[in-house]
Amino acid sequence: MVQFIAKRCAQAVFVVFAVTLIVALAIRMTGDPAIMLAQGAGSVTEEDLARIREALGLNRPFLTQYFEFLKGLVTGDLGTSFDGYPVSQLVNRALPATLLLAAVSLIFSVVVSIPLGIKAATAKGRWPDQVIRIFSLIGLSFPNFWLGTMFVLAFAITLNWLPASGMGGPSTILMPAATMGLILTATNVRLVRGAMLETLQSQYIMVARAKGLSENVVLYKHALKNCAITLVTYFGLQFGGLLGGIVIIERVFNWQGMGTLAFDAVAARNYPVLQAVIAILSLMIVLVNLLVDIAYGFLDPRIRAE
Amino acid sequence: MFKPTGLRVALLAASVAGAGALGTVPAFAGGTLKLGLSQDAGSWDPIDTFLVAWAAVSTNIYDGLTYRGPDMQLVPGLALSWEELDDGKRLRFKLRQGVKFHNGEPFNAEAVKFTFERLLGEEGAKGPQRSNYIVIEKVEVVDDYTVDFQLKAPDPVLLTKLAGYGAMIVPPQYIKEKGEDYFNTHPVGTGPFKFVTYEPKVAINLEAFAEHWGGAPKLDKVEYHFISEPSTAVAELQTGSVDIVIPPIIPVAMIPTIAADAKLDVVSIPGPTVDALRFNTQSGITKDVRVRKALIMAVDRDTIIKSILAGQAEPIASFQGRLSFGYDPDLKPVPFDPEGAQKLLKEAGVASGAKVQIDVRANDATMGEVAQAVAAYLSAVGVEATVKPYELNVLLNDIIPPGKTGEMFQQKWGGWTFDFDNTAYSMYHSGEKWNPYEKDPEMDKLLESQRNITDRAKREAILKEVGKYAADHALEMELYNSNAIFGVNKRVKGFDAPPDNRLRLTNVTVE
Repeated sequence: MVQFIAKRCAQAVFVVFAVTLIVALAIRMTGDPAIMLAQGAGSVTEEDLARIREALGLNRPFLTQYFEFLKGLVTGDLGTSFDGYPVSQLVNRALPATLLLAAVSLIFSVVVSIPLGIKAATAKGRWPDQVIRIFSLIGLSFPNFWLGTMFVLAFAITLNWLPASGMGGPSTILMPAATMGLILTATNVRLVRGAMLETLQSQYIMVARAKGLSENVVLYKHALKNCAITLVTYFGLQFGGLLGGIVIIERVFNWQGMGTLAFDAVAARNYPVLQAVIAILSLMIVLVNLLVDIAYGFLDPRIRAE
Repeated sequence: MFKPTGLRVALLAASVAGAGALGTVPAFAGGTLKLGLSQDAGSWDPIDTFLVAWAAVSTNIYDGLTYRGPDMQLVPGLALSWEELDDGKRLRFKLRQGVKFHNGEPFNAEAVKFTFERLLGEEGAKGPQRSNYIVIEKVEVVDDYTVDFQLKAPDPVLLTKLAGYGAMIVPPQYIKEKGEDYFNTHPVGTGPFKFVTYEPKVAINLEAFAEHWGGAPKLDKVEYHFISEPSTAVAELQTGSVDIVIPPIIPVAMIPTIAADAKLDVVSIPGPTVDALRFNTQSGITKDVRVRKALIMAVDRDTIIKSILAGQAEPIASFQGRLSFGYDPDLKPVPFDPEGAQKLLKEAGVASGAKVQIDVRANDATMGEVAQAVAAYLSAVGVEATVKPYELNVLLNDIIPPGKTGEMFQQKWGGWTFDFDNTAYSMYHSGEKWNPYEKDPEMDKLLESQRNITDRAKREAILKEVGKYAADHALEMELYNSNAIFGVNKRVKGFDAPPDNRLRLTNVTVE
């Protein structure tokens, strides 16, 4: 197990290194932050731009800049954003916000999709199955920004129950998390249903039923545990996708997380911020996948033995 | 169950206010105004930025030596008066006495000297503001309340520039004690509102500075919330979470939503931004002035404004709006005349099916539609136009300055000084970054000749001539001067929309 984790950590380091290198190179190809900063500054001369570049440290060779960033990443100093703000402070504010939103969305989705998926599987072909599948299809067809806007229209503007946007008390997380969560649920319900259907045909389920166990015990204790590997793998992978999708949801709900930070950084060519955000997000995705792998061992003793 | 909704609170407040008016307690003013702003400036230091979003907030925190309000007239700010000496190469300012910064530090000639030495020195060199003020050679303290600006050459726009952005007066002691980084996020000025808290990417909050020299503001508190998504900003306006949405957030398409809400008003006024499709005068069919004129005649710009921009813009005849200094009301836009265009094209020997490429900013949805409409009009006179969207930075960095554009390219411009020199010099003078194609000694001479004159009438005449010269040579297809669109809750009173977004809130109240 220790060797396995060590190997995965080495992989994680490589992934973060590769991803940040690609991002650092790519964003530098898209344009000059000095021009961005000087936009509208009347007659900007080449000397003005050169001065701004020098102040931002952009006149140095790319590798120097990149290794300085890597060094900072290791020592925990993420540098200063081009608008003069310490990146670590920006990240310290944004990361918990994003993690909270992602976690609540994922929990929402898991809690809703497991009972619904099981219900659909046990009622295969009958009306509960049909209804759940139709709703899941509708959910899959919604773009998340549209669903978010509709929520705002309904619950904030028309009913005035919830704040339209912003980040504050528990009421502010309801709509963004429900938007993300519902869209995840649409996929997850189908996944749970499929995995469950397969498991329910196993002989041991027939044995369990023959023993006279209650249906709930059969489903939630025996069947669900065997589906868990598939589900955990998928939920883990989803976390990565979730962090991508959150960019749009964060914008719609003015949620000040990593997505907003990355979006603004791209728009302003704010290299230090974007590099830091990408590095941290990729690190987290690698980490979650590592946790998923470790979870396998707990879920299935056979994997642990290997 | 009692739920304190916005309406109930408002009613409660009104009833309390009403009771006060009837009884002995005076009716209370004050209250909190919440504004939606598209962007967080990141740093509130005047020399660090060029963002309109910075100015929208900071015009309440800082003062300049001069002040320009929504009526665009230049009036005394921290300077009570000024005079030109040495043929305009020295400006002497008499300063207002008894003014204090929010931290208690006195405002005087030393503060002015410090402000400009900082702007023109090492600290200013890191930011984009310095280049606007390099005409200032040095600032000399004559006495505590008199300063001289020694200029390299007379600069007719300097007094306007002193009313905003990099020229905002900053507190010397405070910056020396707390350091530059601290000042970025804890700004102190002499303005009508003082800084309270700033949460990056979320909000900046101010409160009234009762000792302001212009009189105490009527509001108690002001909150600016950063909201970049237009639909989110409008939703916040509809729910009453913000009272004013400052441009540029509200797109033309969302005006009906706001107009339909009985609680809200749409206030729109001509802003500083002008749009044109400039011509490549070096290659392609647009090399010929007759072709350029024909292309301008072929496009019905009034209809484009009415349909695509929902009337939220004004046609222009030179590359400036009507609030700009140098605007010529006698210069009229070229009328829509497709037959005339075809005749001119024929005269210039342009065969039907000739090609032009229109380069636009990919992130500008409105211009995307406008360019398509222009292409359709051009095809009606036999010119085949293709629209090529570029990522903003690529267009501004790699396409326009090195002269790699198609026959036509989008230029969006808007200087807060509202002085045509700012636009014209950058667009038309040889060797300027934004002028990759034109090298015209006559134009250069015209542009240079107005730069050192401080006589307003003379300068205005020359700037009008510049506009006319550009129009005669058909250097660009003028499109429009876009409106700045504010969304305002009707509970806001005393709101006077400024064309430059620098919304000073001294006289604003909320019900």
